[in-house]
This record gives sequence, C-alpha cells and structure tokens, in this order.
Amino acid sequence: MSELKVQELSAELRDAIQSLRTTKGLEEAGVVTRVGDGVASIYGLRSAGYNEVLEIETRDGGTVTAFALNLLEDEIGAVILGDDSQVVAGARVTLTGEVIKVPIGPELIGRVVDPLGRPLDGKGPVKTKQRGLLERKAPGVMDRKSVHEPLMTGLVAIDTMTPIGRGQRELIIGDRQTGKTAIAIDTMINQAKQKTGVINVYVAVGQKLSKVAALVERLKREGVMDQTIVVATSPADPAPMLYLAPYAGAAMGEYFRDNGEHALIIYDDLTKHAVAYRQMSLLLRRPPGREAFPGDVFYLHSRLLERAAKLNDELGAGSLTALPIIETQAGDISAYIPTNVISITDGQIFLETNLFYQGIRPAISVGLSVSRVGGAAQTKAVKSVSGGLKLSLAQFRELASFAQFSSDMDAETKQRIERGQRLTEMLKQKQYEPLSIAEQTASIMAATKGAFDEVPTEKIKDAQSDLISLLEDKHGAVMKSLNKGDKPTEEQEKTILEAAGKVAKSFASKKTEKVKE
Amino acid sequence: MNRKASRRVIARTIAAKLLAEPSQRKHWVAVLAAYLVDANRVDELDLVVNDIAHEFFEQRGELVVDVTSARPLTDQVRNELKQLLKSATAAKNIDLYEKVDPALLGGLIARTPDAQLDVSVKTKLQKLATIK
Repeated sequence: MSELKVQELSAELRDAIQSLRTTKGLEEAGVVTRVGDGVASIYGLRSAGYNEVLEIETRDGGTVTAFALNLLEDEIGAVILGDDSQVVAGARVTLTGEVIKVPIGPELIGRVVDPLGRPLDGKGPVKTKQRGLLERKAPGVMDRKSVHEPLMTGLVAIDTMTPIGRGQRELIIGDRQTGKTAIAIDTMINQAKQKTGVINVYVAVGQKLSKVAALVERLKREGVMDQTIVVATSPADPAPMLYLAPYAGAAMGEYFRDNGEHALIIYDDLTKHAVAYRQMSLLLRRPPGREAFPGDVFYLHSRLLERAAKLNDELGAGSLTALPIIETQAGDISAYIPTNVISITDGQIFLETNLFYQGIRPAISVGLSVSRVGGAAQTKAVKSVSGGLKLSLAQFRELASFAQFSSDMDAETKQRIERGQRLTEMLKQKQYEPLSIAEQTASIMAATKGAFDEVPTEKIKDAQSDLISLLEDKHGAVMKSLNKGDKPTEEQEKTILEAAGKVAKSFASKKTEKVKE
Repeated sequence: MNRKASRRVIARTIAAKLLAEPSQRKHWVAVLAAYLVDANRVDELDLVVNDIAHEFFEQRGELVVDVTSARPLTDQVRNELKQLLKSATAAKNIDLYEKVDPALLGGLIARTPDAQLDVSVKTKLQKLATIK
C-alpha cells in the first residue's frame, strides 16, 4: 500500500470537484461512424477546422485525441493520436477549438519526450511555461539574415570541404549503415565539447527504441545530454505520431531560435517520415501519386525545413540549423523523396557504401557532397588551410586508378597520388572523437603543406595524434588562439609546420615500407 | 474517391420539399426510402434523418431535441431546458422528445441535431474516474 500524502489527495480532490462544477453547456457533438487503422470517420461537427484537435470518448469513459485531416461534405476523416482500439462506432466526439500545441521551453532540455511532449525518460512530468504551435509559418525574407556563423561538426571532412553554417539546412544522405546517424551524433557531441552553447534537438522518427536508448546513453556519457532534447517515436507508434515528430521537434527548436539562442535539429530520418505520411494519406483515401506518395509530400518536408533559419538582428539573431537525414536504396539519389529533399536543403553530405567498406569513415563522397553556403560560414582558421584540399582530392581521384602503377609514372603524378592517399587517410576519423578548430587546422595544414609527405600512409593517423599532443604540450597558447577561429599568423604557421616536421621525422626513421624511387 | 451523392445535399433537397409541400409528406418520404434502398445506403438512415432535422432548424428555426433523463421531467425542468436551448441556439420552436433511462443516475442528456448538453451524473462520474 503506497503512502498517501494528505496534501496531494486534498489537491486532487479540489481539482476533481472543480472539473465537476464546470459544465460545458450546449456543445457541438458528432459521432464516429467508422473507425479502423487509426482513422475515424466522424459525422457532424460542421464547424470543425482543418487540423483541429478533437476529443473522442472511448468505451471506458476516457477520451482519446484525434485531429481532423479530411473535411469532406458528409464526414470528417480524423487520425487518432494513440490507441484506436478503445474507439467504437457510435462514440461521441467533441471539438476543442484548438490546433495541436506542444510544450516548448528550456525545461525540455535533458529530457526524452514523445511528439506531444509526454515524458519517456521516467523523470516525471514535463512542465513548461509555454506551449508552441506544432505547425507554424517559417520566417519571411525580411526576418532573416544570411548565414555567416559556422556550426562546427568536429568532423574534418565536413568542416573543411562542406562547411555548415548556423541557420543552414544540410542533408545527410546515404544507404543504410553508412554512418548517417554517426555524423549527427558527432556534431552534437562537438557542441558540448567545444562549449558552443548550441542546443541540440534530436528527432527519432520511427527509430528502434534500442537505438534511441543507446544514443541517449552515449550522449549522457559524453556529457551532451544536458544540452539536448530528444523527441522519440518508435516503429510501433501509430503513423500520426511519426508524422508529428519532426514538427514537434521544430517547434521546440524554434523556441531557442526566437529567443536569440542557437539550436541544432536532427531529423532521423525523413524517409520514414514520408512513409508514415503516405500510410496516413492512403488510409484517408487521398489519391496516391508517384510511388504511392500523396501529392503534397514535397510540402510535407519543405514547410518543415523552411523553419530552420538564421534570424536578423532585430529578432535576436538566433538560429535553427537542420540536419535532415534521408536513407537511399542502392545509392539512388534520383529517387522521389531524395530529390525532393535535395532541392529543399542548402547542400548535402553524401555517404557511399563502397567508401565505407574501403575503410574511409566518415564515408563522405567528396565529389558529390556540397554545401551551398560554403566559405561564408567557415571559420577563418579552417578556411585558410582547406583551400587546396578539395582540389588535391579531386586530382587524386582522377589519378586513383593509376596508383597501382606507381613505378611507371612521372614524379608529379606520383606526388599527387601519394599526397591524395595521405589526405584521404587524414580525413578518416573515429566515431565520438570530434576535433576542435585548432586540431583540424593543424592537421590539415601539416598534410597540405607537405610536412607529412615522408610519413607512410598507414601511419598518418598516428602522426596526426602525435602532432596534436605535441602542440598541446609545447605550444598550448597557439592552440588556444587558433581555437578562437582566426586565420593563423605566419608565426603560428611556422610553429605548426616545425612541429609537424619533427613528428614526421620520428615516423620516417621507423619506416619499414620499401622506399619507391 | 467515392461517387456517392452527398448526404447533406439529399437531406437539403428532401427537407426543402417537405417544408414547401407538407401535404405531399408521404410521397417524399417514400422517394427518400426508395433512394436509400436503391443506392444501398440504408445504414445511413439515422444520419440522413439527423441531417433533415438540421435543415428544419436552419430553414425554419424548428429544433428537435431528444432528452434522456434519469427520472421523468418536471414542468419546471422542462421549461428551464427550453429556455436554455432557445437562448443557446436562437431557435424559434422547440420540440422535446422525452425518454427515461435510470442508468443515467441523475440529471439529463439533451441531444440536438448538431450538439448535446450532458449534465447527467453518469458522465460526471465517468469523467471523475478517468482524471489523470
């Protein structure tokens, strides 16, 4: 028998009496004529609005929420948000006069919630001061400012060649198991590691709960959870919940954007979101289009992604950066949903399966990945060293097939191939180990300026970590100053290249590989 | 999508005819019945009747109300109910159809074509039992 606290009991009794006292008077009521597959057809409620929340009385006397998505002449098609097994034909339905609102505010930070704001982490109810609209208009042209602040992911391959800015939408696209979520996680970890003050919102759309649990565990371990909100839906949740999840996350992220702060939102993934929406639309008897998706599947994602923006100074200069994830089948980026989302976002990071299995992780395809904001949102430090990087890698890729004939080539070709191999090796990165601005700048500077040309390719990562430890130990001030983001001075460049030279020598003397002349 | 004729349009047409030609009532009722049987929509009967009642209210201000109460209505309750409904709906004429159902335990439920007034004790207890 659990303890009864008299105060709690008294408060509950008072609330109950209050709800008995308030009679609603004559209120509009409809009746469920058909229910099945999470969709209820309702007769009556002539003044129901689109997306309005309805309350359906269940068999056991409680209510279940639904919202009206089909307003037909003779009936309303409403999707049920929750268990439809308790809804029977003949059940009474009433209007609430409101569209869906979710709790928003800083009280959500550190919590794992469902799309309606209900807690999933067992830490007690979520009490916020404000509630925000799930569906909101994106800021207009005049309310925005161009993206000019960097959002560091901590992944060298991204921050150097496809830099992301605050307020940008950068798509992460690839086949299954290519490391899409891993990029998102590393970006979140980097926000905590570099103390950027960016709030993370991770929206799991139809992800296995075991995966979400493992992710939350990892975030807790890396100390990121206290600046992250997780909105989770599993494949077992009804399709309307999966449909609402990204919008709920956006509403929560917008709170920070509109209050002068910066937030990062990850939609993992929008392919499952489109599939859930397709399920709902087909059950609502809306006409199917290409690949059986409804005609407004583009609008589904465009209105979501437009809410990620950089606001102008009058509105607080806050931002919401979006990293939507799309899963392709067999690398086909010209399928329906991928092309839709590619045309909406400001660039994409394309992950390839064969690169992944070659050991290049993150498996980013340098040729196909692009950031349409680019240099404007790159820290000056990183920008100064990444200029030649993309070109060197492009040249390397052209010559890659000749790598096996290295004995038959002219010196310049050979040099390009060897430099390219070292750069590719340098861009590989372990999961959960994002690098700071200084670490990235130093590494890439050493590699592109040739300081590591004598280091065997397979030892490049060791050389990199040695270089970083050496710089942290002996030249901490330089690293600290580089971390501020400014372009390295000649002095600093000299220091770094000298250190790199030292490290390279120590590896060259240990060289066991035959020197190819 | 389904090509059935709209129930509301049917109700509007029939209601207009019934109001315009009250003497032809039997004829129009037969026409409606024949249509429903022919179009295989007999299960929509209650809904069509409700729509026609709605039309009567829209066009003539005549409100049809089904009242279910735990005990038979007293004159005072009946009048108060009529007053409340008149002010809430701006109806010109109110027809009460009364029924007694002791299962309500107390109070009453009044149902108009579009709305309901539920002041029964049964519903209040149900709400009390399911508060979070």
